[in-house]
Amino acid sequence: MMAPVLLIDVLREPARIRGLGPAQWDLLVRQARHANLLGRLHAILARADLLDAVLPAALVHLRSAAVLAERQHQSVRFETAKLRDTLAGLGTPLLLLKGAAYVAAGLPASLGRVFADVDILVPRARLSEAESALLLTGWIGAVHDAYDQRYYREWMHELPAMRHMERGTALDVHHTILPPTARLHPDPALLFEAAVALPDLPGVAVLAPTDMVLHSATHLFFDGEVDNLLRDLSDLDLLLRHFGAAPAFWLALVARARRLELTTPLRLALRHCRRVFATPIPAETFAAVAAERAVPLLDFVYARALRPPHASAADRFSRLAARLLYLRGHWQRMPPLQLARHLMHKALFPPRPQHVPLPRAADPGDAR
Amino acid sequence: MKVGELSARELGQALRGPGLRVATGPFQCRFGSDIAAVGPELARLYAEHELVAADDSFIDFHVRVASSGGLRRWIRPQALFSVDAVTPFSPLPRSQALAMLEWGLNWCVTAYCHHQLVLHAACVARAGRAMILPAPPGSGKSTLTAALVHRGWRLLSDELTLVDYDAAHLNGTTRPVNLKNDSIGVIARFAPEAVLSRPMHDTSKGTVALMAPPPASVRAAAEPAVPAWIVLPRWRAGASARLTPLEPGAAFMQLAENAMNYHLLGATGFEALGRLVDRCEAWQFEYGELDEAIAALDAFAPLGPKGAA
Amino acid sequence: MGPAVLSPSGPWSLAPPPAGRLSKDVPDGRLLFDADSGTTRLLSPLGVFIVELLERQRGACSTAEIVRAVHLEEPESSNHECLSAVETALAELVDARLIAARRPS
Repeated sequence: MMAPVLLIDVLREPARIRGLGPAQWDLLVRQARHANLLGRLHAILARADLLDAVLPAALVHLRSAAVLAERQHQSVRFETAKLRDTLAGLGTPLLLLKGAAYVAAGLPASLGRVFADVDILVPRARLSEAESALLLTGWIGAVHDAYDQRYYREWMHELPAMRHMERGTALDVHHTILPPTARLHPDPALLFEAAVALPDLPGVAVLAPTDMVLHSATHLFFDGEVDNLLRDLSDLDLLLRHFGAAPAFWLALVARARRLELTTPLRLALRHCRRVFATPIPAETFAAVAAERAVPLLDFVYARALRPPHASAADRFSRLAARLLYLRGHWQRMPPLQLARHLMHKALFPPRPQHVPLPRAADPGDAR
Repeated sequence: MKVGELSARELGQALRGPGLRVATGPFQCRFGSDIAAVGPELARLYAEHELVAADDSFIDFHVRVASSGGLRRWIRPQALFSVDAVTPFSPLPRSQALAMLEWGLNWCVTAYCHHQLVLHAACVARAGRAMILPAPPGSGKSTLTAALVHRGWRLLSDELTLVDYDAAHLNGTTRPVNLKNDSIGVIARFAPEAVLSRPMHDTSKGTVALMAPPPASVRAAAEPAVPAWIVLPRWRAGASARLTPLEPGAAFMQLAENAMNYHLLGATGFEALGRLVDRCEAWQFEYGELDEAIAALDAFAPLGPKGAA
Repeated sequence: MGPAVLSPSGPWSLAPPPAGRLSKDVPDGRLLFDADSGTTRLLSPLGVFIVELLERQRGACSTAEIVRAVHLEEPESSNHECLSAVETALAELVDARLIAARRPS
């Protein structure tokens, strides 16, 4: 058993902050920041009416993260409206995924959430049309390498990432939730069929609750970036707690997972949500997907990966686990031959290093 | 206990080991470094700053400038800045390690302090009233600031001024002033008592030296200051000191352009900045000679706050 | 992103304000913040005058009518100066999406 993680303990039981000393607050802030959960921590403490129990020096950092998250939420709402107008010609509602969906639908999973881009789902048959409409309204492809272009178009489940020329926002246009080359093939048509229109946002839709959970689980366990895994799990926990309040949800979730052939990600999701966040899950549901079944290698990997990516939460196997996860991710997305070719290409042509853009005041001139 | 009261050995050990914990304005920083030259320089620049107790303290910024970790060590040795394992900059020549720490701490403030409006501006104060000096690079702001704080003004900040949303209070970080090229010599002559670091050459800004905040400024760091004046300085060789009133709308737009997080704060930023220009007199200031400049700005001090008799 | 091509005679009317617009009147004009796009601008005093004129009129005004109103306020300026200043201000207002030229019915 690995050592407990302060951030996770507090997220599970916010009232624990009452017993924290300054050095622990220091650690909590740093773990949360590295996990991209600092804004969420603020939101959860605010929701639990605990902000006046926060160490004043720490509150500064929490509030700062909350400001950032709020700004991103505003930006996403603005982009949603723009995208809806841009893609109105497709004749289908704008289907939002992940963070953008949580914000648009006002779900608890949007609490303090920060994100790098807007994700939308478009029918594969309308992809070129969508791409053209986007290019006309100032969106440009961010991927230039011909190999990468092909990688995306042929093998992945999305267009190459786009960026808005003036506003700088990033957009991912998906046509299914997993790459066509992956082992699992959830049918996007089923997702569209069940999509839910948002009453206060005409023309905008999100996935049905079961589908939202399954997509989140699939993304986390088959597609997720290492640094955001704990945040993605926190999203899942919040989604399950919110939708799970309706008793009919759990049966529907299991049935839907079978229909979409996503029982495996659901099993992993339930197993790890309960383990990490003590998410209340009915025993029958847990049993129905055999979530109690131990899978030694995956358990080993996720015991480490579902933690803040911070030295204080790591053990001596954490780096190995991260590497295994990376390989697993590619394995899941790509048949072995293509994987070998892809990894070789990446080795021969490594992506150019990216550094965090510098604010003006601290600009040492990027002397390289 | 102050940084200056530590022995060289204690300070070196702290930097290499558990970290040197220092209070800088509203923030507590923990400095770490494996570069021998950094210790003695920090000792001089932060001599007057209070140390933070080692056990059970909250540290805002865990910063480190190190030469380890796969960087060049013998041929054109490098150093890398990190804050809690985040590395926002590329490695730079090791000789610039001290400057990197300061640039890095500024980066921390701009990245992690959106609970306030962060202006790219110097700030000095007298009798509890603050003068904000926003200026793009090359305007002579740092030289003017360095001179002012050796003639009776208190240093709040050289680079980043933090303003509460209600614009009723502001903070500086009371950290060293960044001087470049000719201004190093100018200040050395203008204020022989000024404590200057060894100059660092060939940085992206030319030759850079850091000037310690005067002891009185450090001791007064906790005293509040109310925003009173916004002054946009512009140095021009041979110019006579001249103050021209700046209208509030124009001052607002200037500050918005010189604010690090104005856009992040959205409506909150608009309102905060509006309150700030309401409270302050705004001026454009051209000058060519330091003594004359200071005399012109000193004249503000006896004036009443905006709107008062 | 320069000013839009102006229909020389208008008629001009106020565009419906976006939800998140904030404003602050200052001696040198009016500060405007558009929460949606995050842009901030300083409207000139003449721009403010035109906006207030359109608010009072509650209908549309042609460029000529606006120039006449401005000329009344600035009798020392020539017609040409007024026209030039008004055109600049109108371009500013169009760019800020405060006014729009209505199609003749």
